[in-house]
Amino acid sequence: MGETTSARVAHMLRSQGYDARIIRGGLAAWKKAGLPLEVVPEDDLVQLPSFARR
Amino acid sequence: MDSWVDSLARHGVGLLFGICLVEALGLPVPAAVALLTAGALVALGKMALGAALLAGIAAFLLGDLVYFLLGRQTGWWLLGILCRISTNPDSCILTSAEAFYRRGRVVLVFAKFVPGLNTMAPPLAGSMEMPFLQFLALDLAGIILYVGVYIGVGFAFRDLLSALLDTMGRAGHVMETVLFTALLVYVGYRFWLAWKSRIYRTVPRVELDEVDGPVFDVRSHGYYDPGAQRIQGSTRLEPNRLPELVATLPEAEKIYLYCT
Repeated sequence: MGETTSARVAHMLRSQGYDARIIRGGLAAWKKAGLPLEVVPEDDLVQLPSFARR
Repeated sequence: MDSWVDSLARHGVGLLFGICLVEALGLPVPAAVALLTAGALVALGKMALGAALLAGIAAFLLGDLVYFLLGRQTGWWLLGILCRISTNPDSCILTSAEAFYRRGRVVLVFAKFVPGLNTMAPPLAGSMEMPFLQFLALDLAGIILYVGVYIGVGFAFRDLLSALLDTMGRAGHVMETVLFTALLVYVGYRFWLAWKSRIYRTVPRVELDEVDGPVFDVRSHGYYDPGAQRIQGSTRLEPNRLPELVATLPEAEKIYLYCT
């Protein structure tokens, strides 16, 4: 795990001429190394359906 | 010779309970076959109807409640894990959630009959914040329907079933064979997935300190729970919408991708 999606996407982008590379270890490695993170902005969050009574 | 019918008659409701619970938790065991057999055993007077119904219903209710509460507690995390087992982990959460929502809450009543959806429905209901009592009522109706139908069919076709199961029982340990075959198929499927992804090994990897350019987040699961984190300054690249998003990427420079 860790690089499954990025490898697939990178492979596809490279076949279309983009110089895509994968960050080894993904977000988990980034976090572990203590490198800077940010909270995903509200607008970027996926709105999934909900059954809650609101 | 230890036939499947004999062993279910001997270990009885405990075994039935175990098989149903394991299926409720998402492993591919043949709970329907166990329920059919239990129905035949009831008809043959080797098992009490009340005990068989209770074992099946209690097992599914326990498994479903655990997943519902976990789904509710962890948001979309549990579904992310369950989706890893599925054929298309990237779109699994979104498509199953939307299908569930579109068809309405009543999906819970029929979900048990649909492989795949049977395990996903309770944690989905939890993640989608369905009120507890409503979940309980719909899920229980679904469980009673599922357990009742299979035990009923087993009861009605007892002669056919006992003949069939006896033949299979004489041929060997049916239950072990079924489970072993399911396991083999699953392992083979994982190997096939790994073999299919071998071309991806050629994609260049960089170390953390070599990142020098725009960073793109291609996770599809990281964006469901408020407060989710990502690499500072990275941009979201939704993998399921790649064809339309490709044009927005810079063509002349190195770009860096990451997922979980």
